[in-house]
Amino acid sequence: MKVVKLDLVAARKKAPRTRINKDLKDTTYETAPQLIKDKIDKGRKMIAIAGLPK
Amino acid sequence: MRHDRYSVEASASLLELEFYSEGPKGRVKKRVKIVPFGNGSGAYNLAFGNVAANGEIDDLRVTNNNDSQKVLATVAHTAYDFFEKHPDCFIYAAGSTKARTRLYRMGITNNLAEITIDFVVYGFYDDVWEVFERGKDYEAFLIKKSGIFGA
Repeated sequence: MKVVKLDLVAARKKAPRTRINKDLKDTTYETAPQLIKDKIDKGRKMIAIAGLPK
Repeated sequence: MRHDRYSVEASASLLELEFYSEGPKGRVKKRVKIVPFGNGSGAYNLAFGNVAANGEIDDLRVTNNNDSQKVLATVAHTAYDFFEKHPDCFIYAAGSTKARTRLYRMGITNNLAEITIDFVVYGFYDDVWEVFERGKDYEAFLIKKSGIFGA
């Protein structure tokens, strides 16, 4: 019988990961570029019309 | 998701994320911005696109890097990260064009079985949010974690 040995360290190194970068800053509605404001405005209208799903 | 994805760099709150698409067109910087609606609704807009020369998102540019599945899987995974930190919120997504919105719909449709294990997806149609159905031409989408607010 062939024994397959898992190399967990190598597997972990290869797995895509999310790394925190302190230089990346969050965006608010006020600081968002116009194209995002436009989308949020459209989404706000949809929520005003239909509410949020229950 | 079962597709390959890229490694991501994120702000501490996981609302601003960057990664690089790699393919025949080279290494292309992509950004995901998750921005609160700011109206107390608990909804966040997810915007995504290439990083333009001015440092802002260009969500109209087509990269043609032959990795659209990998890019979409990477963006989708940012939603998993987001809901870890914001479990009772909604992500709102709409394409910048009808074609882009259709692309989002195709991405959701192709992965619906897997997405609905953890999330509920709604589409906006005829002025109503309804649970996402295949083949419907939705204007926008809302995603929330399953089990929140009684779902």
